[in-house]
Amino acid sequence: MLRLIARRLAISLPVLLGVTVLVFLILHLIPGDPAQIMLFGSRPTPQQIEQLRAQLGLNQPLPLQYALYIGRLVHGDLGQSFITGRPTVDEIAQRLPDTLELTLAAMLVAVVIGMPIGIVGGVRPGSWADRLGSGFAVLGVAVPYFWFALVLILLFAVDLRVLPSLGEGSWSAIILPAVSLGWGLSAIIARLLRNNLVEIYQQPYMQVARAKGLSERMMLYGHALKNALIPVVTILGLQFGNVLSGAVVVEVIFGRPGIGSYLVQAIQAKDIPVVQSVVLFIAVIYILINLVVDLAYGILDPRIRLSWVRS
Amino acid sequence: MHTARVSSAAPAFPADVGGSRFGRSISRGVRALFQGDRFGIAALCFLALIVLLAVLAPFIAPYDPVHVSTDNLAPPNLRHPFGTDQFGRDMLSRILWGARLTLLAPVVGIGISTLFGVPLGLLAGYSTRWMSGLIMRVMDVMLAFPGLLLALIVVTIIGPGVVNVMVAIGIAFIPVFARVVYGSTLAVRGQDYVTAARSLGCTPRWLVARHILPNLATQIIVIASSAVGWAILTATTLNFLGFGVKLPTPEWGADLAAGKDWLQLAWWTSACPGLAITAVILAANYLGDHIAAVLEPHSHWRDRVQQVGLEGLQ
Repeated sequence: MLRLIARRLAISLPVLLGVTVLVFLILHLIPGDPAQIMLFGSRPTPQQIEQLRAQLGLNQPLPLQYALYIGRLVHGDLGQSFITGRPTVDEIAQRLPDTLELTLAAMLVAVVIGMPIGIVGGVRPGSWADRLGSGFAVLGVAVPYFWFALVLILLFAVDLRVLPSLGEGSWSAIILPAVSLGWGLSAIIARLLRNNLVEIYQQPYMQVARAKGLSERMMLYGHALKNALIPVVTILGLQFGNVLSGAVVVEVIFGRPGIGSYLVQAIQAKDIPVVQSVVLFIAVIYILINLVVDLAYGILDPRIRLSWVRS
Repeated sequence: MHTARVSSAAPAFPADVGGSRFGRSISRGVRALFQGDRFGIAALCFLALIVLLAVLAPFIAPYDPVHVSTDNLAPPNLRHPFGTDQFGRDMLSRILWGARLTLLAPVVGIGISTLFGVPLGLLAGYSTRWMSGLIMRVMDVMLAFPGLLLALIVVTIIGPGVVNVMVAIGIAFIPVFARVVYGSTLAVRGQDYVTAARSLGCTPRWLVARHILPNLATQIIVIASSAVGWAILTATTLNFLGFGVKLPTPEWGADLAAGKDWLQLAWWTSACPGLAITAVILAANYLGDHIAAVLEPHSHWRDRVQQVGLEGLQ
């Protein structure tokens, strides 16, 4: 098992390093002088710009700047906001829990809505319930979540007045954002689970199970569902990043103070260190989640473990 | 799918009837699109209609989409079938005009990703180990960012704007094209007909252009058409966040964002663009599935795209 983890880490580490290179380059790929972008709006004198360049180390060669950047990263220093001057790490640490809460709640919503629909359709393909579920799945991926969020607000917060639409704090404030963010993923899960189940029910071992006189319930929970769920777990891992980046939009709509709304503000204000830090955080979380999912996958399914060792 | 032609100089089918071989395969493909799944055909017709309406917008839109009037926030009525927005602009006219940019952005974006992603994938699949390692590692790094985030990074670097949104979508989707084309190139280069062509003295460039690329063509079309739904969603998201068009230019995502502030007073200002986006993405997804079913009826790879969507491929 340790060898497995080492092997998988060996794949992730270069990617992680590449991510830091790309994030580091954001500042330098922007047309114009970073020092000037930073002093944007204050009509700086050439001396001021030169001073800032020296202070930021912008006069050093690029590889050295990158090495220094990595050095600071290792010490937990992601830079300071151009605008507030505060370390971006502090700001992110304060906002990250809110975003993770929303993302996890959305994933939960996706599983809670998606799985029953997928199971019902997979067990009785062609039934009216299956058709209804398929219709939901098709519509779920087509409705843009930022509009769906508005529809939910209009329905539950404005008309029915049962759920709050803005702010955070109470547990109920997360329901509407989580549903609007998770609903697209629930459609993907429902579709995937349904198709997997339909395929599995045609397998010989399911026919054996049926021939032995197992109840429908035992067939589903004892044999079919476990196998059908493995790809669903993978998709949850792969989609985590999409849900996390979707949180950017949902946070803006619901006025939640997470890292997503922070990112949008920073892009609008050209606050590059903030953009760099948030982007780095999201990418690293995404990579780590996929690492965990892959390892969990290997633990769950011995065949996959073997294929890794052989390759 | 693989035409097992050995010689690169072999003539096309004898006795070409009507037009070039390329032209005939196009017309055959178009005819095939009108057979089979009726949802797919309906989606094709619907999208064709929307494109037609977008093109004809200057002639059929009842009002100037940026014309401000005192009749603001009027609910849908006979004079304004979709109502008016907070500046009294006719929503129907804005939807018709907005279709132009809303549909153009994803199409140009996907075009950009095809233009760069496919050659990168071919190069990685058919060149030195070092080169292919370099290209694919860069693609891996890009894939480490969720698509929307990658598009936002690009917008940060090149700034907001209509064209920049297209570029952002294009860049965000390059690694998907590159990876799929790379994988298929590896699979195809081991085929007998490629070995045969190589043994006849084909140069690598000719081999890739004449033997490998044509065999990947259907796959590339399938990814591109499956990606359109995603591209529409991302383009409207970027516009919704205010990184695309400048108001008062009509665009569905931006109009939706504007309508969001009038949710309580005038639901139609957000519902019209929202429904329009939904309908177009729905049709694009159906059409993507349909094109895949027509072009690659037996491919497991296609099943995967259909089951989990393109994000699952990443």
